[in-house]
Amino acid sequence: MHDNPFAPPTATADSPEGRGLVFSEEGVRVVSSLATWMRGLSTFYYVGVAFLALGACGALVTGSAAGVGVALGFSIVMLGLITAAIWLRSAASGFERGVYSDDEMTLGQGFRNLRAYLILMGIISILSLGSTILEVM
Amino acid sequence: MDARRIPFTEEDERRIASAATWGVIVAVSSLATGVISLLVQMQALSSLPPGLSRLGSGFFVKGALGASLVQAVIVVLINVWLLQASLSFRKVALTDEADQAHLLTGFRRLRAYFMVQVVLLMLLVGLVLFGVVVGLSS
Repeated sequence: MHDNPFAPPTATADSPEGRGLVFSEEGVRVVSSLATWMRGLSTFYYVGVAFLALGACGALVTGSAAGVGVALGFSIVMLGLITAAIWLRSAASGFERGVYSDDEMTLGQGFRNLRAYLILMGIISILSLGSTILEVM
Repeated sequence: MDARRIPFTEEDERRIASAATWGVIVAVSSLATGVISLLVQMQALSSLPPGLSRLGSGFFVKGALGASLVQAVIVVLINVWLLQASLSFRKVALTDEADQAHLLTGFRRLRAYFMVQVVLLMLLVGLVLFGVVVGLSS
């Protein structure tokens, strides 16, 4: 059976996904401020990376095996910090875009990056807890 | 923001729930580390050699204890905020009644969590710079 092209448009249900959100001014302010602080923290991570890079160069200059080991350790920490900073900034952008565009899809992107950041922090905090317990024992 | 349902996709709801779970893991393990560190420091301070503890009966022991307590309070405060944020995000993912209200509560707590970290780092950098300037000028 063919559809009648002259038939009036029928009311169809909205797609359950991808509909606009309506955020209050307060909500927009909170998320905007959250994104600013998240970016601020990521900037400190980059500052930490710069100091670690200087330390790694200083350790390499010694030319000893211990120096190379220290530089390698610093490089791993730098990699972790850069990754954390990127995820933090992406999460901030996702939340901000989600609020300004009133779209839950970009909010979901923000949560994806926040989850990645929290997984990294979770692994670090579990390792830290383990080392503290080992120190006590 | 009113208290209404947000039509997240199933995948996004899974991500939010997973982020909330990891938030709880970070908060609980950080709280545990903070408590253990505080107990160890307090034990170390109480078992100082008698001569040393007499020497610093006022300033040293009280200062170190105060610093440990301040550190513990900050650790507890920021991790409780992370815990509250994670529990709110968990409600966003697992319930459909007041998604926007829970989301706003979660974002508020998360903002406090990041804000205190940034402020503390700024203070730390300021103190280090002050120390460097004082060290260079003396």
